[in-house]
Amino acid sequence: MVVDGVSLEVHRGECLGLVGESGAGKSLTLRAAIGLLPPGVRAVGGELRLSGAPYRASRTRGREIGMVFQEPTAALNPLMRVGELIKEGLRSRGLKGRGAERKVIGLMREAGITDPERRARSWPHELSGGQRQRVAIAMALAAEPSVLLCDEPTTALDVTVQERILELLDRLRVQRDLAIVFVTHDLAVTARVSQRLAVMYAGRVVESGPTDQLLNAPQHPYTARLLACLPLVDRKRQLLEIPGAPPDPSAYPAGCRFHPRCTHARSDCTDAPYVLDGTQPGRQSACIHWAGLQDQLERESS
Amino acid sequence: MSALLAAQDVVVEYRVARGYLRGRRDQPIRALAGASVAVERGQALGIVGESGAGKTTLAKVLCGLLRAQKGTVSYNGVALEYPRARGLARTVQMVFQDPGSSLNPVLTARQVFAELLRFHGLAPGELIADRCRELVELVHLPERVLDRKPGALSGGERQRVAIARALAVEPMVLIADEAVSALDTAVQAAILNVLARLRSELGIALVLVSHDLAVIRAVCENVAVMHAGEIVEQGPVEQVFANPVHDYTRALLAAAPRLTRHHSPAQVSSDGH
Amino acid sequence: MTKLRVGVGVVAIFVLVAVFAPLLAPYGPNSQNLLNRLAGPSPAHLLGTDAAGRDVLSRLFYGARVDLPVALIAVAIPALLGTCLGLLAGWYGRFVQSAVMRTADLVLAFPVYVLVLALVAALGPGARSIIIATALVDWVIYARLVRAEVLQVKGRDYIAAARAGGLPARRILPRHILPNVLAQPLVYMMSDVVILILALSSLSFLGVGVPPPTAEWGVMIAEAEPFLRVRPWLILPPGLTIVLAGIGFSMVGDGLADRYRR
Repeated sequence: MVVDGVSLEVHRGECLGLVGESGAGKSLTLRAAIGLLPPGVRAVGGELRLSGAPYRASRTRGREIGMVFQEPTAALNPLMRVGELIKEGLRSRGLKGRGAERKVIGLMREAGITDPERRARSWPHELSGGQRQRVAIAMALAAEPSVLLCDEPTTALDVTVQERILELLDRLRVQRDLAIVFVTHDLAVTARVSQRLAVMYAGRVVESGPTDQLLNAPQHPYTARLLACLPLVDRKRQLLEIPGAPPDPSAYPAGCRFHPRCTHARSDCTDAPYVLDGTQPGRQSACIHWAGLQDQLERESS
Repeated sequence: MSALLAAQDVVVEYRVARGYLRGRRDQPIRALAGASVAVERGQALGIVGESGAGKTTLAKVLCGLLRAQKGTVSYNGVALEYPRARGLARTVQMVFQDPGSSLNPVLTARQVFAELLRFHGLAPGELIADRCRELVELVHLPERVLDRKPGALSGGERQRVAIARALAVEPMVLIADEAVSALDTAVQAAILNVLARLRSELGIALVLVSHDLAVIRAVCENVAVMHAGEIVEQGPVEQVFANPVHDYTRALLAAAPRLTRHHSPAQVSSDGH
Repeated sequence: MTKLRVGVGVVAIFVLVAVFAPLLAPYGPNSQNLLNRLAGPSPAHLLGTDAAGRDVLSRLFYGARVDLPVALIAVAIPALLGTCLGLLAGWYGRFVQSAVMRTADLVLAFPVYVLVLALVAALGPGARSIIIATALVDWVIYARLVRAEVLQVKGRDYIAAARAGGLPARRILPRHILPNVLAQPLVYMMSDVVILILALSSLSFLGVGVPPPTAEWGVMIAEAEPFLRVRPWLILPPGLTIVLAGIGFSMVGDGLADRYRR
């Protein structure tokens, strides 16, 4: 059981950030939603609902749910020109011929690709990393999705390019009323792009809530420590390490899975049941001691 | 007084071979177009820039892994030749970006350390085991990793072994080329703390190459901003980050993601604390 | 992993049979019984007897003492030579690389089998000629394989770190590069052994390999060939033995390849 009991919801026009260390299960959660689990991994329970109605995962590929990956190079077929790649997505909607051609150019323009008529004839390898990611976004948009899943789409990019891709996603979210799930290990990127945030640790969501509240006043010790080890651009500060290492999925600790590394752990943490409890309107924490720790956590994370 | 390690007007060009057909004279690609940096004993210099800016090329020239076509690298004011003389080769060491390829997959940490210690005569035979233990302690690793191959180590552990390997030859300067960028935030913090401690405890000078301004801020006193093979701005971190002079530095600072939300990127460059 | 185990098992059986052939074989390889020629399988002769009344099973066992060592030696020499040359060519580049690789191209310009046949014909029949001929031709493949691997490994950070640590080439090459480039040539070696067992048998079949009456699988096939119509089973034991040996070594090669690729 690598990921267990993860529930997420995202609304139209909203971006949900999903953060955690590598191995926390962020990508798996996302892939489970779209039915693209790697070989040997199986979803054993749970369901996906779109606008309230249950949705079968495998049929959603490239339809109502679009996906953008970390490595645009790997996601683009190197033997197809950019225009053809985007056109593939239109085919599923029955768009062909001249109309499809026009639509491709329109999508490329929407994804912020300059000179789309010329670029449509380029090969993926002729583009820069940022341009490729824009093509991947245009491909995802071709199926007119209502949800866009993004798996670390800016991690491989330079910061200035990253900022422009984030701007683009922001604009698309507003203009298309898109729901975006943005997976990243970078809290600062999350702050930039998301309105709500879910923090994952060892296969579970440990805290969720509005991004600014969660980052300013965390209600789970893990979130607080994650914030405390993040270097800041605007001031120098002592980085606080998290003792120990993330647990192996084959041997998750009992009770709260963070307790062996938690400086606030008490004896009852070892058998605490996993409940993501509401703490304030729109906020949830899985820490059973969150209420008593609030002030300490806020101090620790700043 | 001259700097501990300095590069003066370093130029590096790559020639791209283009088949045997004559006629088209290749324009060499300029990776470094006259870069000068210096670092003092026990100090930390950050080199920041985006991919293709020439950061890694400069780091390799400083470390003696790459020949500079023009310019000099000097150590304590004495110009270094390429390749470096045996006695001087180990004064500058490097830690690389990719934890996956920075360690030899067939050798254990102990084998690598022991070879270096023996080759440079840094520890007599009977003390090599003790020295290996000290080295992993320096980077806060348990002794048992000494006899593991890289395949059995996590990314963070590998980077620490790579740092320990660099320390094995008792260098005066340690160059870390994006050494923490492939790591998770928590692991990154631990490695950055190790690097900071090495400076204060061993007096090692640090050159930290990174695309991440926040990482530079956390560790370095001085920073050099690179763009297209040139250093466009250089100075104390506080000063450069608070009052960037060059447009490119401003753009970099503006694009850096921050925890504090609700800012328009353009304002941020001027509101550093 | 089972592939590797089965392969190693098969190869081990062949090796054991070759080593203990005198103990295992019920008869001598050349002890004739002209009164009992071309006999079918019987309790006394489990696989029957050949045209000279020799026990087929015993000759198969003794044949392993010819085919296996010759094939292994004929592969080991070019593998060693090619690996060393490939290592140097990959590491030093420029002149060394040009010299080694152009020579390799020159050798490869000829069809391999024709070249070996011509060399064996020139050197005279026998196992030694085959070993020499193979060594002259086969190193090329190992040299190219190893050079390509060295070029890759050379760019890895751990090699840069070894250089930064001041280690000279004579330490970096054997200790840091060699172990990391061995997988490819090792895997190829296994299929090469198969090719050589086949080559050896075919050369013997054609009359330029091991001369009869030596018990050798190719010789046995050649000797069975005239009786293909009247005693069709006679050709099966040596033929199937070669196939089985081939499968064994191929499985070891495949298994090793899987293991290294991971």
